[in-house]
Amino acid sequence: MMECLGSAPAASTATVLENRQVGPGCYRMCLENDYIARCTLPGQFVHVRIPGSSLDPLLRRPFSVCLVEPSNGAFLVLYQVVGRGTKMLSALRPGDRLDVLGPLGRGFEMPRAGAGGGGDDGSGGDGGNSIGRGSGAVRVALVAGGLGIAPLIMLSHALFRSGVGFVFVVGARSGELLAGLDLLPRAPGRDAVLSGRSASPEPAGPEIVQGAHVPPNGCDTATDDAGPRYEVHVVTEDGSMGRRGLVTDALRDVLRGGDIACAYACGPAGMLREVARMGETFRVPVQVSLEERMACGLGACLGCAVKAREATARSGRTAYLRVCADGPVFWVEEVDLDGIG
Amino acid sequence: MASADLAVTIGAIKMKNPVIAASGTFGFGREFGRVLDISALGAIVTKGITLEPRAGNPPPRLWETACGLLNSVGLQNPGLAAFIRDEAPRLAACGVPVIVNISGDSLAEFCELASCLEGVPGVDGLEVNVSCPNIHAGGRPFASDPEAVYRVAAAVRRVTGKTLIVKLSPNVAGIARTAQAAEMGGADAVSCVNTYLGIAIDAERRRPVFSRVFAGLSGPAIKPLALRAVWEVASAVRIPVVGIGGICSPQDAIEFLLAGARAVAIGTGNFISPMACLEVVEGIRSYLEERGIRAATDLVGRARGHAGHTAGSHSDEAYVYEPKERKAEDDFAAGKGRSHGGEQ
Repeated sequence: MMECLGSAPAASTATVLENRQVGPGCYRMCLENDYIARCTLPGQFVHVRIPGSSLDPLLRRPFSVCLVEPSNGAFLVLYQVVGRGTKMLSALRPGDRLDVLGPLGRGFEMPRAGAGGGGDDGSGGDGGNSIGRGSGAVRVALVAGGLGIAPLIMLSHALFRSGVGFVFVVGARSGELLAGLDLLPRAPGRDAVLSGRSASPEPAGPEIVQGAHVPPNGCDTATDDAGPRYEVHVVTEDGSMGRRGLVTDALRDVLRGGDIACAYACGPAGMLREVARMGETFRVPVQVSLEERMACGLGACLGCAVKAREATARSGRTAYLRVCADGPVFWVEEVDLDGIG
Repeated sequence: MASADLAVTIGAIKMKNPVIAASGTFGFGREFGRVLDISALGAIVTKGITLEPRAGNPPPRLWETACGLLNSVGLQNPGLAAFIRDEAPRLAACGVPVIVNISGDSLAEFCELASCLEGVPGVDGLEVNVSCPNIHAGGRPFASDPEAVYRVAAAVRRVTGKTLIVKLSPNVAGIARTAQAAEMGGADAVSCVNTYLGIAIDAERRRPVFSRVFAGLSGPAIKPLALRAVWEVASAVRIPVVGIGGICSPQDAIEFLLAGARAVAIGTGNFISPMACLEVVEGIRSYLEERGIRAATDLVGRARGHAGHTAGSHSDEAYVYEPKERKAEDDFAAGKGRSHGGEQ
């Protein structure tokens, strides 16, 4: 299994710059830590703990890095209050400190710059797994369920900088649970968010938002002066924002377009299984970012296991993979998604 | 002030300090080696190794409890051959004593593991996991029968010249008797304790959380229980005791030393802070230097002088292990001889 290609993780502390509620139980926390901001790759995560003597809750909590701003030494996480650990996180105020271990794990495998070209040498599958299948494949799809949007936001920025066009399909049960739409490349309010001053409301976006056409100032990796195009498709189960339905309904329409070279997904287990099925149907390779209960975060304790697909197991590897070190991003061919969630 | 002497010896292993990374929490060293300098540790104990690769248990494998952690990893490991091929060479270059934790389901398996590791460079000691099921005793753990522990220790002793540590299970009627059995079998030390068996129930799904129902409890939740086990075991044996159970801070470690442990191992504490082992080393150093105590070994068992009559006499009288299998012991005595750490 491929080890993380990025920088070695470091154990350090981060200062809270901002920690605000962005929806029912949904929070966005901006933290200052230069190393994380400089070294994190899209899809990697940080393992955090509130410092102090309390041993209850005992373990650290993993969070995907949602966005980094290396020039400010700042990074962002999105989280939902689901238990006592996240409840305690939500009470942190600017100036408070947090123990941070990271960046950790294997992130998303990027398509080659220039859109759609090249295969992937390191994926877990066969030739059918290549990102970009010949000429004409120019875009990738990002599929987010709820706060699963977090790692995909950072990916969207990397794609944008690389000049790769994308379709971002974002879904939640209802509109108030959609977080992070204002963090997409060049979206209003983004610059202010990372400086910790913004209180701009979530945009009540239309069903399809046309993305920026011009790369941001200072972006030196865009491949042409027009910049990549991207679309955002918003779907809610109750229809309170965007299209009514499931995020996978919208994805199916996108895949029917036939120009999607690769899909990246993060969200509930059921959604990931459905995205994987669609990837198979439309012959689009899919990478998913997974969650599991986690202890060390470093690949030592084998606690955060997910079952490997039979083909992977047969090739001589152990039958379980570690979300923290072998993932959290996997090609769907690598893992048995029926066993998660 | 003179700098304190942290060095301790367990069997033939000379450790620069009494802090060990516990089996199953530290992988094969390289995982945590990305974050800290593992050569600064007293020793590391590897993830448990079996003869053949083990896939481990299906998820979930972890469940957080109040100040504790239940785990049901199920001995996932690459197997002996892959360990020797892939991990041992790397470990040998780490500059830290390496103790390999071994698990077998029969005496023969333990012996094969120990013999195969005998010539492997970089392996300084073996930690024998007697908590695993014995297929010749209906799957009951070796640890549940002092006689079985004696036989495992004696059998492994016969085939290894490396430092032999038996890791005691707390899930037994009398842990001191088991410790004595390990000592009689020829162990150089005992580590005390493995996880306590517990259960987690998922109230929403109305069923046990873990596929195997029982899981091992670790972390600060078990510290007082582990301290008691160390106290009892240290009363019953002359070989060194490695204290394990919920150690997260220097103070925790010092408490174990005072209760009679010669060294300590940190397990779940590594998950709370990956730097826990190093923080404990430095904390012990400060504790000694601030109080003008010359050496870490001066702390070992020092709380015991204050024991009430009951605790002391109870341990001395109640646990005297006599192996039934005298012949095995005699064979052993005629062979290699036993190295006691002495001191207590």
